[in-house]
Amino acid sequence: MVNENEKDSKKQKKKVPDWLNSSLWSTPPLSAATTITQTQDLSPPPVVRPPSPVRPPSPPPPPPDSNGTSTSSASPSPSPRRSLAMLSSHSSCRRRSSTSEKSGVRNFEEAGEVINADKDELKGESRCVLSRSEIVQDEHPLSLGQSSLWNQFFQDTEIIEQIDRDVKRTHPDMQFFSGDTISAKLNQEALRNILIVFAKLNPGIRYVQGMNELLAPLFYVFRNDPDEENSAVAEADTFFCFVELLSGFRDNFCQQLDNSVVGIRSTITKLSMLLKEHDEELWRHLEVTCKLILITVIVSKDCTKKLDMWNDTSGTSAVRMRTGLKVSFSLLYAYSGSKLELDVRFEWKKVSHSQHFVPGE
Amino acid sequence: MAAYRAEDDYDYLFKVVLIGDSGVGKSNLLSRFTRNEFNLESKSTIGVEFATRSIHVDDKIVKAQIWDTAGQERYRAITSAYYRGAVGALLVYDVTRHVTFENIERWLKELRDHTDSSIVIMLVANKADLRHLRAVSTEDAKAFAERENLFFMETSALESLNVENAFSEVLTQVYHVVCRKALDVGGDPTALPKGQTIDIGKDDVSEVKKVGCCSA
Repeated sequence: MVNENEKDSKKQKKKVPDWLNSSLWSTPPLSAATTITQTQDLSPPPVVRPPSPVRPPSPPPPPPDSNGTSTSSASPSPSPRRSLAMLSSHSSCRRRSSTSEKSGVRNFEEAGEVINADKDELKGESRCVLSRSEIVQDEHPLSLGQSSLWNQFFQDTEIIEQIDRDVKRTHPDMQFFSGDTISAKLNQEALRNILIVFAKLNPGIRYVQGMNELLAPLFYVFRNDPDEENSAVAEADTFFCFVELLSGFRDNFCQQLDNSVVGIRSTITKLSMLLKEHDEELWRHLEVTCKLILITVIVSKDCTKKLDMWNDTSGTSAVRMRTGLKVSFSLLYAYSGSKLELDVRFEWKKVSHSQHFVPGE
Repeated sequence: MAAYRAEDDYDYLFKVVLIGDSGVGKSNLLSRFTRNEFNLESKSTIGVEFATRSIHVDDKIVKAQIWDTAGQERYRAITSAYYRGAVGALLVYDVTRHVTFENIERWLKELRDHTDSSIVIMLVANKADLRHLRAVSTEDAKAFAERENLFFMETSALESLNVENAFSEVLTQVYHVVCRKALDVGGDPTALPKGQTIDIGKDDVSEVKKVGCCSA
């Protein structure tokens, strides 16, 4: 199963999306051409893309299965492994769906139909010819229009480059994720696939630095499953757990919600209140110096701690969020010594390593 | 400095921020300067990290409190407080990726929007060791720095090239500005509050700006 998927995705990488091969672009601009060769997997996903970036966060809808139909249930589809494989290898043209996006909210039955329509079109006409009527006025390589395929392409490229950079830097201290071994490469590839698919399915969030840190321990657990059958499909299993994990606090990642009651600023305020309740002195100090209490900052420090923490954080997402806040609070408290060392108006004891070092350069 | 001074003792505390696109080498510049370490495969920075190091300027001890942040734009919304009280900034780009140089303009705008206009800013061209991959010429960067009134230096955290110089230069300039400012107002420079925002004069910095002081 996985081998097939890998073959599929390899094929996909070598292939430039159909629309780029169109005769209409007989002399593609140089800049575009070079970028294309650098990036892979740039084909837009199937039409499961949510209607607009400002869509209120909710778990991403399940992707349609291979015959184009889909369920409207919000929970992971019964055959997650198959769906993910299809997602990462499927290529489709997003612009065809853009017209239906304009009409507003679109449900998933419609999305399925669009895919069907796409397939029929592809069968009917030559693969590399787009009909002229589909080239809208703002469709050119420099277009910044929201619905421009070119613009979408360049944005995707940017995200993928970012993901690539971070995947390479995920737990460089662990052989499992880094190094030149084949297994490390495959593991990186899996992280990369998951993050790209997630970013494509959640355009309001896309990829936020630090997601790799949340994803890595999940993948580590699944990949090391003693049951080989399970371990072989670790990528797909990890994807769905990752989506589930993020569904609890995805609002924090969404830029449009930064100032809402569910956004990151509000979360930071909650943490701040919790701190005030328990240690007003420390709270006052942080209010003066900085409010940069990011949960990920603290949580990302140690992979094993994260695993332990997650073992303790089961339950509904609301419970998890509360637990997360409490964990952050305790970690913050534990780390406060080293952080506060920055400001000597408060003579806090240093907890861990001293930051004083005079290098001889 | 005849008398014994505690390890923690210092005359001035300056906050310096490191900014620039993701992956340009900010964290390695910081670790090279504060711990003389370099890690080819360092982790990406999530949120904010800190480090400090004290250096001598004239006969004073200047303690630099250096803030390193995630490069991704998404973090900007949350990290505006990052800039508060900063008196120096290293604006870093990667000489092998032109886009990181193009984005410097945006970083500069953000820096100027959030900090005092007198902040000492140095444009830092990092990864200068990758000569065969260079995508941004020294001339272009110098011209930009001159136009924007920035200091400029080419560094390599890997080869430990100019890292010390870049930070020292920024700290020294901040120190001079602060001293002059203190003299201007007739105060005793040593009486400046520690760890607080130091309002450095608007007119001073631009006059001492120079470009390419130690560029490779």
